[in-house]
Amino acid sequence: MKRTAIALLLLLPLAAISSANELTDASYERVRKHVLPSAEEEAWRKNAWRTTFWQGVIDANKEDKPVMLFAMNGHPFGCT
Amino acid sequence: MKLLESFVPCADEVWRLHNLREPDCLHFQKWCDEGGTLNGDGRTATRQGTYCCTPSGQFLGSANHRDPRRIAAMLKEALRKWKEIKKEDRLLKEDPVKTWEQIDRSEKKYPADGMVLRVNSRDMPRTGLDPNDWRTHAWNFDYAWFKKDEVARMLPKTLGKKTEWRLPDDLVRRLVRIHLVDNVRGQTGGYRPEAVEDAEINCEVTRIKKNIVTIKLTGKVKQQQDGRGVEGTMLGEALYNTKDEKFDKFEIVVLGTRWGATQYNRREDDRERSPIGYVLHLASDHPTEKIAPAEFGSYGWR
Repeated sequence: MKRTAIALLLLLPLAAISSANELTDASYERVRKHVLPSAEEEAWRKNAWRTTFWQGVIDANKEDKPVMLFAMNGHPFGCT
Repeated sequence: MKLLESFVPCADEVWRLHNLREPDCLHFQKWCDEGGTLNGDGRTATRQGTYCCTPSGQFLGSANHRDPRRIAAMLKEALRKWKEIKKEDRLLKEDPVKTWEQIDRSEKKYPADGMVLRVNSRDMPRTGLDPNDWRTHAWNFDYAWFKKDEVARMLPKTLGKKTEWRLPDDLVRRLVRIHLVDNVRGQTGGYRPEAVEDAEINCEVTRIKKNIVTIKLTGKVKQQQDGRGVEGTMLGEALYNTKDEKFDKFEIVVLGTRWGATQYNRREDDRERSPIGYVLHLASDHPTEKIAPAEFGSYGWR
């Protein structure tokens, strides 16, 4: 009985490692929270971004303002 | 933020602007290099960066830098130049709204009556990473689009308690090979169809209350090609509204392993197997969430 208990105790760390890498109802929320961007990481959405260069030109022409274009390989608001 | 209020801020994909012959692309190409090419010379040099111009197409400034002070300095100088230009010279004489109709963009195929999932990706914690390195905290996202008829195909003819079914194979395979990719640190291409060794999403009705059907989602993925790959398991929940005939919730978490590298995904020194996570959920109606999937061309939509 005592040997069995010791063996089980030795296996506990392994079980912890294994469960950390398994997707279960218990780990679901932890993984979800880790992957999703924080409010700070999403703060850029607060600006009144237009999602295409031409929409920027249309609105700038209407509002008599200069255009500021942020251009990346891959849309900056999608996968870049 | 205050400085930005003097401008109309917009963002766009630069390869298209730099290389295609569409009206908006030609407009950009007229002035984009007036401040010097931002990323070296040569035909393949990217034009990534921040630019300022008048609606009429007069160059006001450009920079490609992560230091916000340098961008702010460029914006201030652009604003100074703007004020020196006469109104009739800085604005377009032709209504640019008319030009919009001539521009061919993937975003015009946005499935407003279908379903859009935002696919978030990030490395899971592991030992040996530098907390001061941006790559440790890197994350990315893309959008997965489904047409109305594709959403309809996701459901069985009748939805009863404990009904079980699998999501259509073609939709699941498209989802995993284009969207469950290692883009955490940078854009990467999807997988070829034959690279998908295992891909399934299983559904089971767990609850029906009035017009809301709760569906448990489970699944798995394994795909590999050219020394890179992703494998993992999926768990999630969907709420289908039978009255509105749409999903009020569709969320899947994927936990798995990635390995290998591609040309631009910044894994050149991180090719060993390591944990990765994805969260797929319904995108909002916010304009910034209506961007086309990065690999939209692989969808084959006409």
